Amino acid sequence: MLNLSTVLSTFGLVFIAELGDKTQLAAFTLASSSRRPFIIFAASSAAFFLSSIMAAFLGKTVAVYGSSWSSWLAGSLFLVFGLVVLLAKEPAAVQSAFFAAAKAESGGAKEALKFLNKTGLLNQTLKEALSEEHVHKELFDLFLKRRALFKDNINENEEALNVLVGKLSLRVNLLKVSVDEALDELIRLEQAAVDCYGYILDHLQNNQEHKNDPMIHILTEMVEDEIRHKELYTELRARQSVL
Amino acid sequence: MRLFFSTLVLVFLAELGDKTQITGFSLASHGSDLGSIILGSTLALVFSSALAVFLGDKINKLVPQKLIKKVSGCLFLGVGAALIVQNFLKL
Repeated sequence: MLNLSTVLSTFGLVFIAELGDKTQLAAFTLASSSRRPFIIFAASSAAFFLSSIMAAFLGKTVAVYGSSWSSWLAGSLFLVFGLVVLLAKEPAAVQSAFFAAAKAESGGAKEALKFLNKTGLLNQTLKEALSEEHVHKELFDLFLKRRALFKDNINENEEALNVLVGKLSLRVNLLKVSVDEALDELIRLEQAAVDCYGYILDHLQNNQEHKNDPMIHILTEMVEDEIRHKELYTELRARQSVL
Repeated sequence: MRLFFSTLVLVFLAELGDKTQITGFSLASHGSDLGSIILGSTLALVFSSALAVFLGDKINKLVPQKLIKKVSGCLFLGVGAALIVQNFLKL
């Protein structure tokens, strides 16, 4: 009943296609910083299973009722997909920046938590600050909905945006440097996030066509969150130097 | 459990009409057996999402996006061409 070569070829096609889908990957990367990533993983898997069943049965129905032309359908669709994937232009700098920023969110928070835990500096306020569940959930939903992701470019200065995005990753291993240096790095990172998100936010707010973009709301919250994080770390740093 | 159901619905809707879903649909319409398609497609989606959820940000260093896109495009072209040729040979 199960045909190994069909299983493998379906797996191969779908897996590679999925890995190449930036939006989808970005969404699930964000899920990794959620407090309960396993629930998201389980729910997604169930959804994938249901969606596969639906697709397969619909396809079979088409094959049964339209057998003369349905066998040409697969070949033609795949040729079209192949061309679309190969010829699609690079996403706009702003779109890429947004993805990069969202991904940095999931990575950075984890590292910070590990460091704070290990050094005994973790307190309730910081813990809550680092798992800003609401923003991550909104971003996750947005990526899955895909509609709201804008395609235009920031005309003036793509390079400036790329520089800002470049600063969004941790430059040191927080666990291998002194506590002061680690806190300084975290402060730097938060400020870099404020600068980057603020830059994108400015673009959205100054542009008539983006007036009702849901990302304005999300970015505004993200900027506020990062400012707060920076203040928390700065406080922590000040207390450290007194000790 | 609200998180579970809201995620399930959201992901299901996101998959509707997605390239990956249409791939399963197309293979089934071409005549491949349902069980194998459902298994292969589900495993591929589960595995790729697992990589993203459990590796998080590290996945970007492991997955060379541009290369994967080229491979994916060529793969679709190749399979598409093969299926069309297969049909011509049956005529």
